[in-house]
Amino acid sequence: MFRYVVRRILLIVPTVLVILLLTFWLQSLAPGDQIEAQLSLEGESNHMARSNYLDSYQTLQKERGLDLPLFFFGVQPSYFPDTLHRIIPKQKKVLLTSLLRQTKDWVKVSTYESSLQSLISQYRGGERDSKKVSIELSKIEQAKSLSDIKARSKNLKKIVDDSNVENEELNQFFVQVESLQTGSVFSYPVLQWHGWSNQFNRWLGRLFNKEENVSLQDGSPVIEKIGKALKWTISMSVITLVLVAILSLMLGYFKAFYRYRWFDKVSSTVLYVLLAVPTFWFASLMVIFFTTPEYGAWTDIFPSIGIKPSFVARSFLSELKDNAGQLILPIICMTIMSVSYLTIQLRSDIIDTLSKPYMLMARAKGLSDKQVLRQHALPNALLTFMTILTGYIPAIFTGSVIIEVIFNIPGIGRLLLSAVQEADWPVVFTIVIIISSATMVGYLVGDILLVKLFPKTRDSLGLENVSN
Amino acid sequence: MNINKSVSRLLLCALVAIVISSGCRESAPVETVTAIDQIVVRMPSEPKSLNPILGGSSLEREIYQYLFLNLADYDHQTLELKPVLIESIPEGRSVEEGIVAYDMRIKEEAVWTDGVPITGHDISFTYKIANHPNVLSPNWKGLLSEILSVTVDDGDPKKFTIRATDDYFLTKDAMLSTEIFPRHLHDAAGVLESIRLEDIRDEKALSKLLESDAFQAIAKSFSDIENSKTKVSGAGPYTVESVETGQYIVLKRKDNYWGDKYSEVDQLKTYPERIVFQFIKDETTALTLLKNDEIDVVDFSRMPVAQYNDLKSDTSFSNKYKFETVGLQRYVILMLNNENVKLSDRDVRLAFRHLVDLDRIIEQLAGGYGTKINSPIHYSKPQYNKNLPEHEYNVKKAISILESAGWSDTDNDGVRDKTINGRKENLSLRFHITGSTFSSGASSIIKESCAQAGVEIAIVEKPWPATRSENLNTGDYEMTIIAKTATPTKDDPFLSYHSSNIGIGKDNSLRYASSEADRYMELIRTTEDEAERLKAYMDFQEVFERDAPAIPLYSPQVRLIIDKQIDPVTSNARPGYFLNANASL
Repeated sequence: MFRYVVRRILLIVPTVLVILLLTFWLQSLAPGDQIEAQLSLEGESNHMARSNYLDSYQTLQKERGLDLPLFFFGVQPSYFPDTLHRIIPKQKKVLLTSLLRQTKDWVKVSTYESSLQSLISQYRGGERDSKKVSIELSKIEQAKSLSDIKARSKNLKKIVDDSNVENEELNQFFVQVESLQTGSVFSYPVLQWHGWSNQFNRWLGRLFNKEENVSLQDGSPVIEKIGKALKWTISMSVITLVLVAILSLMLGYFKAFYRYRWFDKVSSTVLYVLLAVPTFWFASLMVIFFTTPEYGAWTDIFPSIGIKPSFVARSFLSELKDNAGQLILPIICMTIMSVSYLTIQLRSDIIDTLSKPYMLMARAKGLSDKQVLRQHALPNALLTFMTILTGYIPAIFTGSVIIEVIFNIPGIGRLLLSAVQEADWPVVFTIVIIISSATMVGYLVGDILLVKLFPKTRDSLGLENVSN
Repeated sequence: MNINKSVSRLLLCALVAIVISSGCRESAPVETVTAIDQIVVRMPSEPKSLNPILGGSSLEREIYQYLFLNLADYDHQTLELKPVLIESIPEGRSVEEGIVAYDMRIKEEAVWTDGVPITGHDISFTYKIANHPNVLSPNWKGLLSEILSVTVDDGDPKKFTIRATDDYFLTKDAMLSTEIFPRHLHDAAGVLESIRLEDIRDEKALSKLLESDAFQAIAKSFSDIENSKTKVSGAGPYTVESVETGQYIVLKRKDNYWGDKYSEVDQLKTYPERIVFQFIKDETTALTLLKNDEIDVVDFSRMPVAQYNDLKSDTSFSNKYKFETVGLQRYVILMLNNENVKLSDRDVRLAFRHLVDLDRIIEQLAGGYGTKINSPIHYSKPQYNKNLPEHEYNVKKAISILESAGWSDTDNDGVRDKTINGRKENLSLRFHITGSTFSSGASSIIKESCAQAGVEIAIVEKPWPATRSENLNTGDYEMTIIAKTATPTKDDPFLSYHSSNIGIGKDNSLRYASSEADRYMELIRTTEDEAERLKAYMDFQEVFERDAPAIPLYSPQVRLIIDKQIDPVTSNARPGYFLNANASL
């Protein structure tokens, strides 16, 4: 058993690492430009001088390590330079990468780009013909394909020929555009080693450093932020788990005892309805009907939702005590949802066990219905019940996003949602590690509990092959 | 199997004890505060920072406006610039070619939270720190780019002179309406005192400055985002009392506030003892808390209009709450990509304007709480051109314009087409939306009327940050609908509509290029004659209306629900209410 536990614990490390890699890779694919989002106000950049913007972009990019290559190594076409990740802003990088894929010639692409930028700054703010040139240049800058560049460059040449604009640099630019051709060089994938200085390594290093792993939203250490949220989530989840266990055990037992009678039929209908109702809707109804006197004074049973502001520093226990009333409704919602499923499952398992031949034997021996149920059917049916129940253990740490949002509880679910929405990756990463580790530890604890309670499950875990 | 009875009993007892000790109603309130002592405002999300230089979004401004003061600010009712920290609004005096000097004096009583007098050195520090290359403040750097120096009077540190170029017509507004920071708290060692503003901007001098650890350290400490909520301190009437991430921010009134003497200045008023900003994401939760008297002020604009009207007609509710609608300086505009091969045709844009059923959009999606507009200049401003023709929804007229422009359905597929540059182009357009109730509803209404005129609309749903970055900034879009915000000051259309601002990541997302419009926009910026400027505004709007590079739709009204006991000052300035000032006092 000890070796089995050690083996399972050791497996957590690579599994978490794989989850972390997947999360990191997915966030790098997230649409939009997180630096631009941070620098703009309500999606606009009014009064923002372009040079200031690019300076700030560069500073923030460096600060967040986004100027580094993504991972330790990368596979890219042989004609790609190793400095492509340094191009800012992101849209420019995307356009140049696309152009590079078409031409397969970085030297020509970079020469073209620097000439274009030089011309854009030369013609900016000019008069009449210069203005026309400036507009055409910006159209070329936005072109998405080589054919677009060539077509727009032709338009520009026409404008230049028809006007009195004379510039040797412009003529050179036209030559450079002409020289850009669809590349036909043989290319092959190249494995490029980027070294230790990469985004993933930087993130990983900061993840376990309390001082450096800070939230992008408010600069507070991520672990402190998560700790505060976990307190609420764990408090609610533990109470919920205990309630779920007790209530579903009792209900399942009585439903089996009074099987096919009115109590069983009525309760089954209610439980199926509760199971079918979406959590967010049920929770919203509870809030609307039971926290306000709007539908009569008698419905105003529970206090308002959300944690009450405090103007003095206090311990979590006293905070919990002051807000215990606020936690009742979310706990009820979470409990009802799980109780419905577990009760139905337990009832059917008990009834299934009761139909087994050894139950007939027990009855033949003169045991009463109650005795058969309590001493034989229930303990045997509990295996499935316990398996499902232990599956809820990881939820102690993960919480419920819907419940926490609707009841305004600052738990881990709500924190994760807001971190994802705000692209606060340090928080997202840390929560992912905690949740994935907790899930694996939770399942391990569940398995150990099952083995202790039901020794016959050792076979299913392969423990027979592992010596103690 | 034996279940440990004693363990289960213990768990049951613990559970019962928790429930009994908590009670169904809160038994031990933390601190009882009467409604008037405390105003609770609902905020849909949490601000990142309360430091105006590092932040500046409307959400953040809603809180820090009570913590920081500007030299001057816009009067909540007249929206005119009025002195706040300074004694009077200065008039510029020309000191040399292209340079204007503004002499000002800080109010005698004005002090920081710790009693240290506010002086010209604080103004100088603020402009320097905002220009520090390691402080992420691109907006401030842009705003203050015309300011050259701040000179503090040797004999009277409250007296100071700001020198600025006369290149930009909004420099004075920008200079006066930026928040001021306490130098002694951020730069106790006086690192920036000996450094000139022009040296921070000069590339050569700056590279030398950046070698100094002290110069680097000051930016690092100022930009420390962890302190940007808890340790911010300004000259405003409130201070931050407590911050609970994800839950609330509480501001507390300063004792013996110096501004109490100036009862005519709204920004200096200190009506409630505390202002609590509570972060509530879910709309139903916010509504329930409002009904329970737990929140005093809610911006109901994101919630369904029908629900707002229901509450308004509920007498038990309306006896307790005031329903206010405020027309903020914000407008919704249909953006068209003028570089697109189909939309570059002015006739298509004009026809399109007649295909927008604006009345239906305002009625169905904004519940009638909106004012139709036909210009990008807000209708409440003196620069607004009142003579522009009204928006006309007329499908027949749109069809006739398209027909005469050569757009017809030659292949009978229900979509108009035309051969442009030898290529047959179908009049089908991509419409980028964010997926919000408004954008989905508006795009459906427009799509419906477009179909009647043989214009095909393909709706593309994408989050706004991605649309802005990947489509608007790169020109890879055909049409989208966005809301733009403005400030009470004069508009500078140059930023969003001048042809020199076309390009990747630049602000002219419409890719609108008109030499005539450009000329008026340049005149607005450069002329010193106010009458000429006003005429240029009018002319610009006429050209804009004629060219239809975009279709201004309407200016939405913010729907507020406010506890009658609170009665804060409401205004067209954002966020629409000012909690530190009571309307009846």
